[in-house]
Amino acid sequence: MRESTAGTHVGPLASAGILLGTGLGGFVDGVLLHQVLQWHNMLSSRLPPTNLIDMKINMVWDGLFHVFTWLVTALGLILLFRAGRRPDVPWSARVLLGGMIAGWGLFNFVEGLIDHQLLGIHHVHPGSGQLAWDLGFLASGVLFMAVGFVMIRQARRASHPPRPGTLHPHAAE
Amino acid sequence: MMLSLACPSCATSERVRCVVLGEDFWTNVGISILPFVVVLAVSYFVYGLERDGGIHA
Repeated sequence: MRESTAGTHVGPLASAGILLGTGLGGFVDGVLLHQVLQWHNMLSSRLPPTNLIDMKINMVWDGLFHVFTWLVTALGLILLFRAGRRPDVPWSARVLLGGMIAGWGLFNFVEGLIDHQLLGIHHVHPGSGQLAWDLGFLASGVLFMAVGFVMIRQARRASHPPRPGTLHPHAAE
Repeated sequence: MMLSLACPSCATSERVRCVVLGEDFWTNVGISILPFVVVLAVSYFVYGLERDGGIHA
């Protein structure tokens, strides 16, 4: 399908991108940080996995985290399919990519704020420098959100030509 | 000594199931789902942004 900026309603495509980005970010967290690197588990600050039972309990909650991540990804795919069938929605790679980057950042920020800072159920990299890792995770979320939403905003500007009678921002140049 | 087995029904798995489904079950479900609820709310907001005349570039 070729790129089209004919539509003006970027919301549905951006929304799909946000959910897909959240899913990708969630899987990076769950697969890379929980399983491959084994830096933390879902409840590892409350129930440190120091024996087989506690490790397996953490594995259950890691699994539930992946279930929710999968569901958000699936919902994102459904929204993407629906957006692609709507004539009022521009088929824009910039909107989709911006949404995905913003969604990844939103996940990092929200998960970091709730799970790491407010509830303290786990931390990114427990031990010395724990706070720095947590703040870095939050900062990555803010950065990704900023980049993503700027991309969506730029694409939206491109799909909204100035109305007749309104001053074009570059009219004086 | 407790052996590490992939056991669907043994002392280890029964103990794990008992703790997971214990009194903190719904609290832990809520904790796990909360970030996703926030993300879904933001996504819903973005979905209808322009239709409702929301944030303009």
